[in-house]
Amino acid sequence: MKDRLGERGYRVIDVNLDPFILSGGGAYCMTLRLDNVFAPALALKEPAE
Amino acid sequence: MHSPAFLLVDPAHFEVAYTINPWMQPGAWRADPAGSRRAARIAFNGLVAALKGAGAEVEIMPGVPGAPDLVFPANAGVVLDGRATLARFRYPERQVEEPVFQRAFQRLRAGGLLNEIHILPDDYLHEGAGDFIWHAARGHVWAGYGPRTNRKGLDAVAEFFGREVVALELATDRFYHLDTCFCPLPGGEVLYYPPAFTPEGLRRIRNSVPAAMLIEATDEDAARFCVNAG
Repeated sequence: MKDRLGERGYRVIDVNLDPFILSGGGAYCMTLRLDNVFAPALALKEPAE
Repeated sequence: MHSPAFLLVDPAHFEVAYTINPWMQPGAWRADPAGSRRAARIAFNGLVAALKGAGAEVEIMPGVPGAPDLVFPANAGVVLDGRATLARFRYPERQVEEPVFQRAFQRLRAGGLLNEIHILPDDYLHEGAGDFIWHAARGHVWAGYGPRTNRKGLDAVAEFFGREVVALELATDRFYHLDTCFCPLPGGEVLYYPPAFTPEGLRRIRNSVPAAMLIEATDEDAARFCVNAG
């Protein structure tokens, strides 16, 4: 997974959250994003099918 | 560009005390509570360090005895554009969190971070940002329902925010929130775990995103909560 995301230009930061996975939650579950704002979608360069 | 801002909850009162999803292992926690608590603290500090190291602003609110899953504030509600809905949890074990997060949201409003807080009626179920994920690159919301959030709760939250929503039905209690099996990425790609979705849910994902921009998680990725990222 890390390599596949890296190939697309994403930086993946590993954090060991095993004690929380024992409860069924991970990094996203442990945060609530407060600053998201609605904005128009990006002009995505979507590859042809 | 502004820094992303996150709310987290201190894990001082975190424990695995009950079972409301197939991942929960109270026995593993109880085998060494002190060691488990230390490990949780180290893991939490690692997450905070990673967020701050990536340039995020982090606000940490205290935990509360008797509400161990408060450490998962993605389920507190949905915050978008300075407006918020508070969660309505399916299980009594988590319903105790509702007044705690309501007070937290009221503090955020007093501090100017929120303008409006919407409370759903009692008979609606919606478990917050874990089931309602804004995808900025695509300009719409991905919303999960089934195991926890019900369709009525999803529709009410969608109506409150008034934005385009792609609703995805989840197929299994193992992936009980959308954020356990679906992660929209800033470049427009979607990381997802196909077995977590009903056939109709999968069809909607694949109709919305070109195949070359879909990244399938493996069983191992999903079991390690790699998709539960941000």
